[in-house]
Amino acid sequence: MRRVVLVALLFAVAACADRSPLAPDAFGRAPCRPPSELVAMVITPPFAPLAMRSALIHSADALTLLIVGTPQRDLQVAFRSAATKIEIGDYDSACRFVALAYGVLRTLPPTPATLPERDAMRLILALTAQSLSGFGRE
Amino acid sequence: MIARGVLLLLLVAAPVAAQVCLGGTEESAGRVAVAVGRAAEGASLVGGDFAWQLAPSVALFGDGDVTVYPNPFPHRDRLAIGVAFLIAGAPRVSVCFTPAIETERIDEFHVRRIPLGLAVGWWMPLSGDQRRLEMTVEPFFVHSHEWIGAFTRQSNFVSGRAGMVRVVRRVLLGVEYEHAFDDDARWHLRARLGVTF
Repeated sequence: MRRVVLVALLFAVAACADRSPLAPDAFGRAPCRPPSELVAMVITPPFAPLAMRSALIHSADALTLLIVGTPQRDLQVAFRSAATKIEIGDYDSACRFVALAYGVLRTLPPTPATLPERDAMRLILALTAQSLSGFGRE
Repeated sequence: MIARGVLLLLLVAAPVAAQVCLGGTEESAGRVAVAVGRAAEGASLVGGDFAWQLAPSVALFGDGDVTVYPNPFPHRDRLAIGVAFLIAGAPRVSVCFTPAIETERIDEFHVRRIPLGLAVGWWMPLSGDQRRLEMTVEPFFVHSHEWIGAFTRQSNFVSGRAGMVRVVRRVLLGVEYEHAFDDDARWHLRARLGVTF
C-alpha cells in the first residue's frame, strides 16, 4: 500500500512541471490548424498555399536581415521549412512551421528599426495561414 | 549475453495466477487483440495490443494504432511498448506500475513519450465455464518530447484510461476509453477483440 501511495505522489509532483510556451499550435498531437489569431488577420477567397512559396522564401532571405541572434536563425529555418513543405504538399508540417515562425515573431522586441520587416512577415504568415486553413481543410 | 537474457525470460514465462493489470488469467500467460474505434477530431482508429506475463509479477505489453483523420489531414501512427510490475495484489484486485516508451508521428512531426502508469485491475467471475469480467483503470503521468525539424518542446501531462473486457474461454471482447488532460484534450474510444495464449 505504501508503494502505491508513493507512486501516486510521484505522479502528482511530476505533473506540476511547466510547459514550453512557444507556439503550442505547432506541437499539437492532432493535425495542425493555423493559429486562429493569424487566420483572422486577413480575409481572402480560398487560394492555393503554393502561391505563398516565393513570399516565404523572401521572408527567410531578406526580411530577417535586421533581426539578430537566435530569433533570426529560427525565423529563417521556419520560413524556409514552410516553403519547402508547401512545395511538396505536406500542409500539416507547413502549418506547424508557420505557427513556429509566428511564435518567434511574437517574441521579438518592438524596436522601430525592425517594424516594417516584422509587419511584412506577419502579413505573409497571415496570408499563408489563411491559404492553409482554406485549402480543402475545412 | 542478450540471448541468455531472452532465454531466461522464455524459461520463466508460464501461465501464472490471474492478475488483471498484468494481462493474464489462470489459464493463460498473455493475450493479443485487435481494436477499432473513434478518436477526437472525427477520426477513426485501427490498432492492436498484446500483453505477455513473463513472471508472476512482471509482464511485457505493447500497443499501436493508426488514427485516420478526415481528408485532407494526414494520419497519425503510434506505437508503445512497456513493462508492467505488480506492486500490490489480492485474488481479484491488482495494482501495477506500468512504465512504457511510446512513439508517435504525423508527417514530419514526431513525439517520443514516457508514460508512467498506475494500473488498477479488478475481475469477477460470470456464470458459465471460464467466463469473467475484467475492469481496469489506469492514470498516467506522461513526459513528452516533441519535435518538428530543428524545433523541439518538452511537456508533461496527465492522462487516463479505463477499460472493460469480457473473457469467454480464450476469447476476449472489450471496450476501452482513453483521455489526455492537456491542451489537445485527445481522446479515443475503441472496441477490442482478442484471444488469450
